[in-house]
Amino acid sequence: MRSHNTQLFLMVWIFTLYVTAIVLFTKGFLLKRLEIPQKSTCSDFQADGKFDQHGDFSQGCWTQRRFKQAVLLVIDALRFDFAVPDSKSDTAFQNRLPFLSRLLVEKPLHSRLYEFLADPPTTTMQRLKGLTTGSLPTFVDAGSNFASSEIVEDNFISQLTGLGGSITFMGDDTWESLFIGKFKKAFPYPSFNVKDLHTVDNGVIEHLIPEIINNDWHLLIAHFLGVDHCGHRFGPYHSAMSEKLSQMNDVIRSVVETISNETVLFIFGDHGMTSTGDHGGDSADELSAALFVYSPSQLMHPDTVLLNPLQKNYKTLSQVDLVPTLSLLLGTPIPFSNLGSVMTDLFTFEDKSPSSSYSVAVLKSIEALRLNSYQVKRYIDEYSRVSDEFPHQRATDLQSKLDAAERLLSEGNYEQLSHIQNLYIDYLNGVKHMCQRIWAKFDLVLITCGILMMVIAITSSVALVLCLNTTMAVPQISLTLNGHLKLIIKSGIFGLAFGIFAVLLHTPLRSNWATILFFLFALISSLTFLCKFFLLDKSCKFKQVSWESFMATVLMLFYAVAMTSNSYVVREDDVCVFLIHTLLLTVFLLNVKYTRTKRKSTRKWDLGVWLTQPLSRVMFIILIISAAVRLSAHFRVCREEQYPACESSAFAQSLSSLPPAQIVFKNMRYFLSLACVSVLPLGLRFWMSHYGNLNGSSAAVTYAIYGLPLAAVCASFYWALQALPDKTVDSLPVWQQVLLPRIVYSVFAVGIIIVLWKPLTVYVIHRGEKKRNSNSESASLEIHQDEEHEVVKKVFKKMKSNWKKPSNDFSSDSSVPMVYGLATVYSASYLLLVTIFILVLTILLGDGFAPAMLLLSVQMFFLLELYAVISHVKFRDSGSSKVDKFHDIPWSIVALWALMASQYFFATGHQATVPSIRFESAFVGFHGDFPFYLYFVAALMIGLNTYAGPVIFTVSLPLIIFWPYSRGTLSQQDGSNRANDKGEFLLHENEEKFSVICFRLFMMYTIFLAVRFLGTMVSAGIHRRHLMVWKIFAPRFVFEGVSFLLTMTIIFIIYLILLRLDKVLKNWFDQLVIKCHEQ
Amino acid sequence: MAAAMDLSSDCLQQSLSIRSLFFVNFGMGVFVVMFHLIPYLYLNEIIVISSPLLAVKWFCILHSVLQVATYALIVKKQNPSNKTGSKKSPWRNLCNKINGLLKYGLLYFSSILLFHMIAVLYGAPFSESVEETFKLSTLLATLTTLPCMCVIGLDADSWAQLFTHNRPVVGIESCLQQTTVMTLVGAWLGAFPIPLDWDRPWQ
Repeated sequence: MRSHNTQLFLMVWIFTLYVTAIVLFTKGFLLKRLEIPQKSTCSDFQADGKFDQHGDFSQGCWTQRRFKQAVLLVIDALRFDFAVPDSKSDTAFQNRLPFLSRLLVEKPLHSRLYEFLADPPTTTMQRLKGLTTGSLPTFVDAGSNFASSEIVEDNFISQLTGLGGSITFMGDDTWESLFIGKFKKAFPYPSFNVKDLHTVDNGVIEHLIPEIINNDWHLLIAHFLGVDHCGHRFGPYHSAMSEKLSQMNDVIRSVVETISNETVLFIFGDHGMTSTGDHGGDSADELSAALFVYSPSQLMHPDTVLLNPLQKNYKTLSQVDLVPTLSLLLGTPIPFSNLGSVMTDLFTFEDKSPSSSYSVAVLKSIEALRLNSYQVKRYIDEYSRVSDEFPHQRATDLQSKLDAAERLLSEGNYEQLSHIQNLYIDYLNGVKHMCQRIWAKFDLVLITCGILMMVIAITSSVALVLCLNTTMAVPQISLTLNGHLKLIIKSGIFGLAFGIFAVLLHTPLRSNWATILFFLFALISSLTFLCKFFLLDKSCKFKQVSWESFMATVLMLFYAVAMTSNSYVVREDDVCVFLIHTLLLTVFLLNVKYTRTKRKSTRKWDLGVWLTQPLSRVMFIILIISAAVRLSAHFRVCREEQYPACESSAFAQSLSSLPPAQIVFKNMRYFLSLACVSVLPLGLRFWMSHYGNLNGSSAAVTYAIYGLPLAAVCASFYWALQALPDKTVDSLPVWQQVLLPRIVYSVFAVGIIIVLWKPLTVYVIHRGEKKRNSNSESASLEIHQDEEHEVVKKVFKKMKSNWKKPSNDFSSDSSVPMVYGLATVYSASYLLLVTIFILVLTILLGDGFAPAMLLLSVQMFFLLELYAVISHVKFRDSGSSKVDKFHDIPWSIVALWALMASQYFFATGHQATVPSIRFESAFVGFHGDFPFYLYFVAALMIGLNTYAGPVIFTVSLPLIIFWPYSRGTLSQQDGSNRANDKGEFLLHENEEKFSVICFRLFMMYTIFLAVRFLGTMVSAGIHRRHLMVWKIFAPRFVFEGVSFLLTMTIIFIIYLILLRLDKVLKNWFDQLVIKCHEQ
Repeated sequence: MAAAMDLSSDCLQQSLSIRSLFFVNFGMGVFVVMFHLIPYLYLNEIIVISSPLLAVKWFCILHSVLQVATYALIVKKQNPSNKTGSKKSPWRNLCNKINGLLKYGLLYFSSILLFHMIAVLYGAPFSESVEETFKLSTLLATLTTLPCMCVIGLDADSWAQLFTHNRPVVGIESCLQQTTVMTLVGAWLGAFPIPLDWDRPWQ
């Protein structure tokens, strides 16, 4: 057990190194924008004397108050073309808002339609932040969408309430969590359940008109979610979208007819949606939303009106522009950190002088622009006081523009009014673009530290693996490892002490004390270890590297380097398949020499002989793996950059969203999924009964017989239910909708408990008691000799069970019990675990991916077979014992394993982009909204869905260890020593070695992933100013990081599970020995 | 071609002299250069880029003709005394030749299919761009299977010997081995630039 503990500690240490590296890098790379807590006040520009101040909310703070009230109708995901009338084409979403076009034509001075560009990421919470504070979002905010947090920056909501304005709110409850306690009246509705199209909208509609009539508000916000949810669920081309938009049309009509003359109405989408109805990224479709402005009183000067209001060239505005516009219209100060610029059109008309000339109108808008520019200038001055990231040259250029405008204005040069206006607009846009470009602030020191730490961590794990690579005896290995561990602990404590000392003495470090302590601990311990390894330790040396390992290393490095090229990241799914094939072929070609046997048969084309040749066996296996790899490519979805050459898999859509015309395909797909999901439990059952693991009635056996098929049946019924039309499904009571998946989850939980509690599937027959039983068995063996299959099976079982300890102290034959399934004791329990995982992930992924999961299992099985066959033929002639033979798990197989893990990341319908995350998977087995404390469940389910492939491959990693012991022997011509073959029980007898093998395997697997992760880190670091960094490199880094952390966690858990399995086996064996002695 | 077939079976025993080998390869090299150069001089365009499918087609045809002719010539020159089929009747002889020709054709064609299959497994589209994939596999077969076929014929053991020998004697075997391996490695390396998008305007 000491050895286990050593390795466990070493593993924890290595993982700490990795985590430290990740934390350091992430802190440097994904820094949040600095938030400046300052607020604007009414009397801000009074001291300057440049503006005539009102200083009073009833009049208007910085400028004349134009409207008493404002209504904001947020229609989530209202894409620009939803609102644009287009007589030529007619899809489900076009021309569904005819009331807007009618207003545009009939009241051109009262209404205006704009294209309203969002800043990525296009998730609702980030958009709401931008729409209320006028600031630009950063990438890292997107991750915290699950639990929105209160906005502390200055925003128009708090400005309005601060001045005594009252706000009524109804709709998406994200607002509530962003502005806690700011609303006088609120009717929030939960937003997370994307399946529910109507609850939020109906609730809003119920309150909207009464509240407007109630007239106790200055600002009324109504946030509709139906369009967005409809997009998520059906996509924009579904007929449900038409219904939803028509409903919105009616809402708009009733609002327009109700509001008073002193009210301005803004109708807008917070973002758009892709052609599949998703959002989150930064494609043109996701960014373009619609903005419609209307007021019953005149809004604009007649000269600003376009000749034909329905013509195509609508003005394009940025979403942050809403903030200053709304603020000035309502007479509140513009929020301090706003970067938007006012919509000039809306400041061209004044009630007092309705017939003024156009130049007066322009002057009005210039006044608004000027206020806006002063506010922005104050903000960037303040910001550059905190950080020096604004490029000096650019800032000076912009400042000169503003000065020029001021000068021209003060000269009263009224001929050049439009020029002055343009100068202000240029200034505002220039500042915004400058901020957009440099906003994400990178801390190069932390980034470099993170990358260096990662390199050190990888080197340390390579060093550890090399230590174990020798043919040393077990005690020596544990001695070496113990020595390393002691050194690491000592130096680590020294590092910690040093860190505490530094933090205590140097106060500025105190704010980041945890990072510093971790960093120093990791750095000093790893450096000491490496020094010892390279300088002092002569026992661990490089063995001669085989071509296979060399090739695997080259491919791994290529993969890592490829992460720095956007083309390779975009086409990573293909790259992965290509690398797998290459490595597979290399493994085949380099091992083909072992598989050649002298032809014994004289007949050249004897099929039987040919088929049992190891060579043809290996070729057959390779062919199946290749075919599975290639077929899995049909389950991919495309990322935006891959279009138009790529077509997303028809399996990725949900059954209910398929059009009724494809009923045949629908049925075929369902039955294919059914067949695929039933193969796994049946296959496991066959396997277990073949190896004699299905005897008796222990918990695990019963579970394999009944539990797994139950889960599969529930899954298939659930899919059938999901394939029904949505209205039918929605009309069912909730418990019926969630029952089936919940049964699957319970089966999963029970399975995990069984694997932890009583994993053994062996069956003991004590010969003393059951003499007759075995006699009858041998008798039947003689009688039914013609039933060859049965006999072979029985003989096989008998041979499997005929293990004997070499130094047997109970030699009398009758006292040796017969044990079924001992040769596959580990792999049977472990396969059970893997199958449970595959089943539960299949139901999370949805019916379309059941065939992909089957392909995954087939591929995994045959890769294991390949390894087993190759290792058997390779060591056919060497006389060394089995444990030594299979001790060194080849690096190439581990590399293949890791490559396949990422292959199935793509083949389960994922891509490393934010819009391709399948949020709907959180609702498999759950209905409605998650309470706050259950968010982690939703996150876990979405995470498991996203990383289904890597998770399964990581969980089944130990199968590589077990497989050669129980499989691959058929290729051996001489089966004579099989009677003495102890199978996997050998591993138990060499317990120390077993844990060393496990440890080494896990380390190798993490090394592969870590090297690739290093590649994404370096590329994100190098390309931090690249055009595509937030679109390609940063998401790739984040996805790889999460995957890496998940893999490390799982590895740690399965190492514990293996130890538990070993312990259970030990207890069982001890009891067996005691029992035998008693007899 | 027939001569080459007849003689190929025992050509392995007698390695070609280094000098003639050098001439063969030099000739092939000249052919490759001319194939690109001549259309360039006349049409002023690089045909592999302007019309790749056509170029590959003609390259395959011309190259195979040239190879068959060259190897026939060399192998015949090396074994002037070898006349295995001459004692039999002319009819029998013709039958043998047709039979051999069919077998060679079958081998060549199946190797094309094999390359096609490998290309698809490596990620080439299954139902689209079939012509392109097929042309590629024809090219590969012409560059690898054809010369080997011309020199070693149909004997499976000789084939196995050719590709499992680690270091064959410098001579026609090593030459064939190197050509074949390098062709395949070249095709494999050719996949690496595929994802690159340097031809886009914004790059």
